[in-house]
Amino acid sequence: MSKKGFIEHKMTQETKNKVFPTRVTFFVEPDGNVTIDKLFSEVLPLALSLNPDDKRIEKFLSYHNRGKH
Amino acid sequence: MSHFTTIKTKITDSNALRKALKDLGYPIIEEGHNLPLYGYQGDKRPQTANIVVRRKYISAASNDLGFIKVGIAYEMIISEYDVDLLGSDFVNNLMQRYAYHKVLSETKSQKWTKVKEENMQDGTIKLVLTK
Repeated sequence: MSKKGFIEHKMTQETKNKVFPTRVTFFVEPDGNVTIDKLFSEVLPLALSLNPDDKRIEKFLSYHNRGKH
Repeated sequence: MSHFTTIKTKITDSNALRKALKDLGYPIIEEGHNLPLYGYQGDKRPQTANIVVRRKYISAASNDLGFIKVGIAYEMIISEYDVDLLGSDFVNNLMQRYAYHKVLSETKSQKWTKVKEENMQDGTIKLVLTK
């Protein structure tokens, strides 16, 4: 492997191994409803705490939790 | 992964509710079980509540403002007079402040960090968090 190829390979590996921070945006609307830009597993418990009766969130949560036991 | 999901907020957390009431100018509340509610003439009302803002903190002619826990969520007990007095935005403002404090307290407990807070032109509060 050439030196350039080696450096590119190393950089690719480092990028693969790097843990990028997770970012999420909440829009707290004037009537108190909350819009979340990305509903992924780490945000689901919070989403459910805003409305424990929201069946959509329950469904997402049970989907993400499947097979964890 | 879904994008832009809107959640209809329900008041379930007394701490966040207390903070919301404080933001709206009612720092003194009573909390307990079956607290009696009083009308503007000092008359005892048939309803009871779990969280109460006493009428003296609202106005001389107001009734007590109460929140009763029904199932998992709190329901507001407010007279028509006080809805007129406090303005139709009062309930929305309370819900927004509640949701704001609820989002911040839940995200903090789950080790999220707030990186940006912005009040948008339409009154929406934008919160950007990272982990």
